[in-house]
Amino acid sequence: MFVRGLKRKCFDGEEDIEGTLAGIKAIPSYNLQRQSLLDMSLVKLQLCHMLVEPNLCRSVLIANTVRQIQEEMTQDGTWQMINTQSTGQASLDRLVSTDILCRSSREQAEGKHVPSYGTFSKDFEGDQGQDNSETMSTASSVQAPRTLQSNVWEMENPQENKGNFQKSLDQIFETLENKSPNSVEDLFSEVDNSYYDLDTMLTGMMSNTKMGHCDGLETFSSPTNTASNSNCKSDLNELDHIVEILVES
Amino acid sequence: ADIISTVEFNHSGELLATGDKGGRVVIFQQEQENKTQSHSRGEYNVYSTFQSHEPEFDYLKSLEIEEKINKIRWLPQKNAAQFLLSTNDKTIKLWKISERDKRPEGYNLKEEDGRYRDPTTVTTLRVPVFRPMDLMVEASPRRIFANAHTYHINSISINSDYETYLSADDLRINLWHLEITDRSFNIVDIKPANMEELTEVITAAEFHPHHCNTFVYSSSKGTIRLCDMRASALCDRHSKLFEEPEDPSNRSFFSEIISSISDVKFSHSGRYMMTRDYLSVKIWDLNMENRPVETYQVHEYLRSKLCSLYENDCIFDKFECCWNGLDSIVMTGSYNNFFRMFDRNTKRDITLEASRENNKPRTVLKPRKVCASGKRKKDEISVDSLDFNKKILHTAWHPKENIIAVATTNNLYIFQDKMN
Repeated sequence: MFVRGLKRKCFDGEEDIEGTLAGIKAIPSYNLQRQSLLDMSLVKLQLCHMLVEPNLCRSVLIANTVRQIQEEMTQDGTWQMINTQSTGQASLDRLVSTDILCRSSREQAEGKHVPSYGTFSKDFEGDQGQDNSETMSTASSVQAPRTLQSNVWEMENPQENKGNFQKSLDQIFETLENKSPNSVEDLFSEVDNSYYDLDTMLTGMMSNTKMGHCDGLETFSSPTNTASNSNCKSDLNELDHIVEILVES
Repeated sequence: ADIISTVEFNHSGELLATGDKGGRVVIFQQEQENKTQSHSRGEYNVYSTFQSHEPEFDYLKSLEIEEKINKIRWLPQKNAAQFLLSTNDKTIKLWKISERDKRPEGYNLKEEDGRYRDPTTVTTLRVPVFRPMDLMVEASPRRIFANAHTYHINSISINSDYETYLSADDLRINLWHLEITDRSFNIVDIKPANMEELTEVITAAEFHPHHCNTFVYSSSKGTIRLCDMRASALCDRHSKLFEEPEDPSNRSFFSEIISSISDVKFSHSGRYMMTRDYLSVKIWDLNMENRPVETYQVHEYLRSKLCSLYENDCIFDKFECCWNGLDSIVMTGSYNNFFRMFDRNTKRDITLEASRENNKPRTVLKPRKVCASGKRKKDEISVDSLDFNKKILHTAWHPKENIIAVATTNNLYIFQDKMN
């Protein structure tokens, strides 16, 4: 159960979060949980059963949840790019596949204005201190859900929508395959034809018991030093962590 | 295809209709009460079965249109025939169900098997007469109301004038006349100009049982709007807005999802309405908008499991609710084939199970209890052993008697109270 207001412990090496954190460490890293919830939601939005029109109510509720999480992350400041390259270690914590999702949507939507998150990206664009690439990837990671939303809801252009879904889904599969072929094959061997199966597989795989994976999530206790430092940085190293989450047993 | 998707008694309670995922409607009829057998009311037996909707393919969007029956609503009986409205995601149909228990015999120009007789062989004339035959129940579609909904229809509701009805989809509500199929009036439209700004959808709608100008619709944000059709042609502005302020101590990322209303039902009296959200049932007095007058927790033990329920999509399950004939008891379904009843007067509640393994016919149902945490007493069931695939989404209460219909995934159970 998420509890708002708990802050992460200040870890060594994380200079830029020093000033902003209180001392209490949540036992399951709240940010990690929140990040996973965000990931789960984005996957849910994508995996609509495209044979029949997806349930609009469900899509709207999931999209609102995504928006809520992102708003909170903005307020927390965890939406910022934190420079941890010096650690040389792939952050186990950078779970988010938004970069994958971004790539296809960015290709589709170059030069597209980002309406819903306008204020947010403006803040970033104005910030000279930030690295340009970081800014762009942040803006596009923000853009991705919005484009996803429009993909889900704009029933008027189904072919285009299906193309977008197909594309971003393909991107995920492609990149994951490159990272860790064995597990990916097991997971996605039958995905090509049916999103149905993937959906069932993901939810099935993530639940050991009926209550499943989320219990583990709710009492998550294994973050490494860099793990609590969750953010949306675009980094291909995040991808193998997606696979880890999916195969967690 | 056998998954039951809707259950509805008719106005007298003699007939019970169910719709399923395969587009079929099955109607059960109560046997006439046997005066000698005073220990039970008549049983319900199959009366009629027909295919209401077929799967369709929308060529423009390259998407299938499911034949699943989302709702059935009966019209009050006006003559010997029965009428009901059934709807799938896109099309509403008016069905006439009529009985035939006599057939004419003794035609002059036709043989009994229907072949025409040679007129030259007719030497005498006779008057055809009706002779009894085995009862045949025929269902025929009388009206088809199509092409008025871009989004999926979630509700239909017949007006108290018995001439008009409304149909609601995710973003719009239309008003129809039962006789007119090529036109409908749009009375609510919440579609934003830019679909990317969409954050709220319509989840259910119903006409007031007595005031033909009044209807309500509920939303995915937990609000109910009451509209008066006399105020304007397009009822985008509500007359009343019912919303309970959020409890800040219970706030989580799932707050909005669990506040989404899955069903709204007026009481028979018309004074109250009941809403069902994921964890509770709320009774609202139409005169008070800022909070419900009664709240009943259906399965509060699920509150700590919301993340898992989000993951396996159970959090999006749409449970229905219903009133008994006297508006004194409300009933709704839960998981593990449990269903719950709340007595508004005594404030007592009970959990019962619809399952063949645990209940023999004609035995009294044993109350169930779910143990949320800590020590599990004997006969209690722990939250973690609940089967979330066994959900009771659809229940109905006979309008006059204590007979209830409870639909599990594939089976229909009919229970009645013990008669002495």
